[in-house]
Formats: sequence, structure tokens, C-alpha cells
Amino acid sequence: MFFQSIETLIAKAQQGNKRAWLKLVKQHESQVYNYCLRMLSNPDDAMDLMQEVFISVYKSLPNFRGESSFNTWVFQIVHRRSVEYYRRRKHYQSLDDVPEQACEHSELEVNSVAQAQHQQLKSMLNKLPWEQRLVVELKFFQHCTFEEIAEQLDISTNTAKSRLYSALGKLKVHLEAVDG
Amino acid sequence: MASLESLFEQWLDGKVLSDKQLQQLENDPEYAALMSQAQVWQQHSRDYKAVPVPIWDRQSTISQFSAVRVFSVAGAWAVAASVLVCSLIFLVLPQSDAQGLLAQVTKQTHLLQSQQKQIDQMQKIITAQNQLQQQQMYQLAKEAIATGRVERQEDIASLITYIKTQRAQDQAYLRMQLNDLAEQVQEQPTAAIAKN
Repeated sequence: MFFQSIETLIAKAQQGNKRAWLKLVKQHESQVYNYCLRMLSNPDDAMDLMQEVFISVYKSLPNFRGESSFNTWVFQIVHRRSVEYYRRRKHYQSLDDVPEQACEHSELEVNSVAQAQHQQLKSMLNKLPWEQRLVVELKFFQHCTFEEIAEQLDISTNTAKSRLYSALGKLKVHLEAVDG
Repeated sequence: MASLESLFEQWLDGKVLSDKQLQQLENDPEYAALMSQAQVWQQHSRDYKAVPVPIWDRQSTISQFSAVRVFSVAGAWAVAASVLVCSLIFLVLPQSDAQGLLAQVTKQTHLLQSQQKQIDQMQKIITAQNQLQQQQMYQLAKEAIATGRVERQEDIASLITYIKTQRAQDQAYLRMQLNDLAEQVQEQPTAAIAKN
């Protein structure tokens, strides 16, 4: 039997099955990597953070009880690790001060429209403070409700809402500046 | 206002609103602006093409822990074994056996002490032998030096004797020559002798 359900893979990985763990990583790495890329805007940092995230997930795997979906649980770790990563990096330089790097992915180089969209998105996200960027990510890219955002970020629902509205307000200023 | 906020949240969560509800939101300048900005993000989210993950070492997520886990398992086994042994000694073994063990340990301790004494004695003997050897070496060197000195004195004495003999012989020879000259002078005629 070639197909294994995620529950089977999790159970096997919890028992120390290396192959099952690697399959789980493969299934979730794209989501996690793209999240990291959107949040950090830098492929190298995104890769570092993704690796840290999966190390954390592996470490915490015995504690996973299946109370939420594996994906939700993984993303809880992703958020936590990304905040830690951001705070750690903040000691060295502000993310907004980082010059935007050219994307190294050949597929995107070929697809200039996609590349332009990525650049625009990166620019918009970079304009936001970290907390607002997180809420935008969860709301529009992870499609979470305000309650879920509040739970994941350990904040109140009202704080989540106010952060999103502030982010939308900043976008208005940004778009007006772009349009001239 | 509260209803507009609620409507906006429902719209954000993707719930289908009626035309009237949408109209309500769009007629409010604040929510209309929020909606248009949210639509920009939604558009980006829809158009977002996932960037392929670069090749990376997935095994690295495990390798950091496997060594630690092996170590911790080994450590746990070591601790468990220690506890077991201690329990056996102090709890499981009968008192008599413990006393026997204690006697054995005492005996072994005495044996070790006596061995240590023997080693100490041997060390003392070796030290004494070394000292004696050093003294002998000193004596030998001293004798060699004295012998050399005597030999040199004898050599010098014989050299002096030789020189003295030689000088005596030279003096005797010179004396003979002087006597010969004197005789020759006496035998010559008086006229031949210079007058001063």
C-alpha cells in the first residue's frame, strides 16, 4: 500500500520512523517555506527559519495529541518560531532596512508577471510592522478567522482586528504613494 | 456601526452577503476603503504562486536529535543500572552477605596497605643503592685524579733529573775545553804573548 494517511505518518514518525517523518516534512515544506518567504522576504532567511521550524516540530512531535489538525499545530509552531526568529534578527538589523534581493528561482525569472507580483507583495508586506504582517498573513494567506488568529498569536480578538485594520490603513497610504 | 463591522468581518471570512448588505458596506466610506484594500490582499493571495522549495537537507531536522537521544537513552540506562546495583547492595542482599562483603573489603584494604608498605621499602632500598653507587663513583673519580697527579709529578721529576744531568755534562765539557785553551796559552813563547 503506497498511500499512507497523515495520521499513519504522524503515528509512525512519533515512533521514530525516519521515512514517515521525511514524508511529513515533504508534505508541509512548501506551505511553511512560502510562509517564511512572505514573512522574511529573503530566501536564505526563509530557508533557515523553515529548518528551525521542522527541527522544533520534530522535537515536539511526541507531544502532538491530535487535538487540532496537524497543519494547524505545525503552523502554531511556525508562528512561534518566526516571532523568535524575527526578535533575534532584530538585534542585528531592521527587516525594513534589508535591501530587497533578486529572486533566484528560475521559474519566476521566466514568469516575469509572477515575479512582479511577488515583488509587489514583498514591498507591501515590508511596509508593515511585524505584528500586522503576521495578522495579514494569517487572514489572507492562511484564511484564518479572527478567533483563530487570536488563538494562534495568543492575543485578544479585538487586538487581532485592530491590527488588521491598521494594516489595511497602511496599505491605503502605500497605494496612494505608488499611484502618486 | 456595529452591524457594519460584523458585516465586514463576515465578508472578510468569505461569507456570501446579500446585495443589500454589500450596498450597506460600500456606501460607508470607511468600510468601502477597507474593503478595497482587503480586496488587494485577497487578489495577491489568489494570484500567489508558491515558490518551489530549494533543495535542502531534510535529514538535518533529525540528525541533531538522534545523537542526543542515543546519549540520553544511554545515560538513562546508566542511571537505572546504578540505582539497581545500589538497591541490590543496600536493600536486596541479606545483612550477613553485606557483612561478608564488608569483611572482604576490609581484607582487600589491608592487603593493599601491606603492598603499599612493601613498595615503600623497595623504594627506600633502591634509593640507598643509588646513593651508594654515587659514592663509589665519586671515590673512583677521586682515585683516578690522584693517580694522574702522582704520575705527572714523577714525570716532571724525571725530566728535571735529565735536565740536571745534561747541564752537568755540558759544564764538564766546557771545563775541559777551557783547560785545553789554558794549556795552549801556557805552551806558547812569551814574545808571542801580547803586551798591554
